[in-house]
Amino acid sequence: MWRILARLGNLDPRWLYLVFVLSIAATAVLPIPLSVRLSPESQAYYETIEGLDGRKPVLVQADWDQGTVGELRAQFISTVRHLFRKNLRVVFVSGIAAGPEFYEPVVEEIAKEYGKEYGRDWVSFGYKLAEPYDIAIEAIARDFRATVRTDRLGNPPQAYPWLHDTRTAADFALAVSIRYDEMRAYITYFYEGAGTPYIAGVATISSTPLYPFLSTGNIRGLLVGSRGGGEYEQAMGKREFGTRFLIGQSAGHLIVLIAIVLGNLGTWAARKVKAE
Amino acid sequence: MPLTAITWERTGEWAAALCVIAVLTLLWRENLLYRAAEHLLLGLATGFLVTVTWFEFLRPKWWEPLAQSWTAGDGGGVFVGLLALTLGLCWYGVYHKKTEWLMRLVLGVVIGASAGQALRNQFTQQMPVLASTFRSPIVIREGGVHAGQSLENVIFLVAVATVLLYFFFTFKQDSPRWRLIRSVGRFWLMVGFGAYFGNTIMTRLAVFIERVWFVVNDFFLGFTR
Repeated sequence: MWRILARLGNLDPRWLYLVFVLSIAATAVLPIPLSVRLSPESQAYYETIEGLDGRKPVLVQADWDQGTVGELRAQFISTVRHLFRKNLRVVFVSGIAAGPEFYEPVVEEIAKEYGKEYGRDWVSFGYKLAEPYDIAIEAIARDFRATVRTDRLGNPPQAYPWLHDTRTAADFALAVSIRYDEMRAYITYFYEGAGTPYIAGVATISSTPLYPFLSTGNIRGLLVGSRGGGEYEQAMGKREFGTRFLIGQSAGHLIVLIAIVLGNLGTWAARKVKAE
Repeated sequence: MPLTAITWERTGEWAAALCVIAVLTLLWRENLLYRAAEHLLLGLATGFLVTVTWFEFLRPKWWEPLAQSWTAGDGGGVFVGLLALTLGLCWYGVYHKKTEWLMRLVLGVVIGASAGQALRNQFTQQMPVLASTFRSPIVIREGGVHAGQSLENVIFLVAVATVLLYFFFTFKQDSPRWRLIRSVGRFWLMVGFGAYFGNTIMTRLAVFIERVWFVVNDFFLGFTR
């Protein structure tokens, strides 16, 4: 018995990879019901958008691509849905080269769903925030027009009546960033500099150091990884990619936990066998 | 079950799925297929970035204003455009010992600007966090002590104090009392690192899950769509 258990400590990790692949592949096709409630940080994110009155446009920085699609796509979709449902006008920009290739088709699809038109309800300026990001955000906060220059159709912001008076950070109702990590420059140049609140959707890996900013109100709301995406999706009354992704994530976590227990059991058994 | 029609979109999805499988073969062992996929990704990403940098930044923000100024005979605009080009080219001074100082010149400007911003960020981002650390261990709400919030604040204050003392090196800390404080501080540090590590695993898993789903849904099941 102990000898069998002791072998677990020296198990070839490729068996673990195989179990991972098979169980996660199973969650891709098996329908498993899962309900989640909004966590306090997601609730704050939701309420910040819910509290907007629509007098000023919302700035959304969409920086998700193939590497972060799993965690951030559901966050982005639910955010855009919420903004369109509230009849808010939205300005999209990106801080990564591939950003527009990913977010524009998604926005177009949701816009159809809510009867929104490009130019009238939303506009996309594409990849306009290059590194160093602090300087790019400072530039957009100081002079929005000069920083973004033209949208995807080649029109300047002033070509759209609802963006005619949008010149600085103070002319936006809210700044939203959905990317791997947060964009703290929004705290400095939008929130502290102009009083424009900032909310963020981030990958789980980047979330740990952000909670102090949440408690001080510098970041008004926070969506954390696939959990934030799934919660927000269900709060919007949908059960799509974000909810399904939580099932895959739960399966993965379960395997990690089982592997930790078995690995420790194996090490413990190996010591016992050696002592005998 | 009828097989799917072959379209450009479908071919692209298959190519992407085959690349994912090629990269995942590294889990088995290092191999040629993995290396080929890795180099393909690097080449594509570099080409894409160069194109996007030209069309999104250099052309609209530098080349077009420069060309317009040149056509209009605007000396000031041409000067600014050529100055930007000169300063930009200074970065390439790093590739030769005799011209290295040129790169340091522009690097100094960038570091100076970043340092100025970092200083401002300290006040706008970190100071509110620092101020929020000063919490009352006894929270009064609606005329009475709020037990839950008070307990949370006490735990928070103990964690902050013991972690700060853990990194206090100006005198010897070998008495039993100090060892206890250091142990408590180390415990909270471990809790923090554990949260970081757990979140790291969650993100890595999310990337893996999305790719496995893509291969299952768009490649294997895609044949029947």
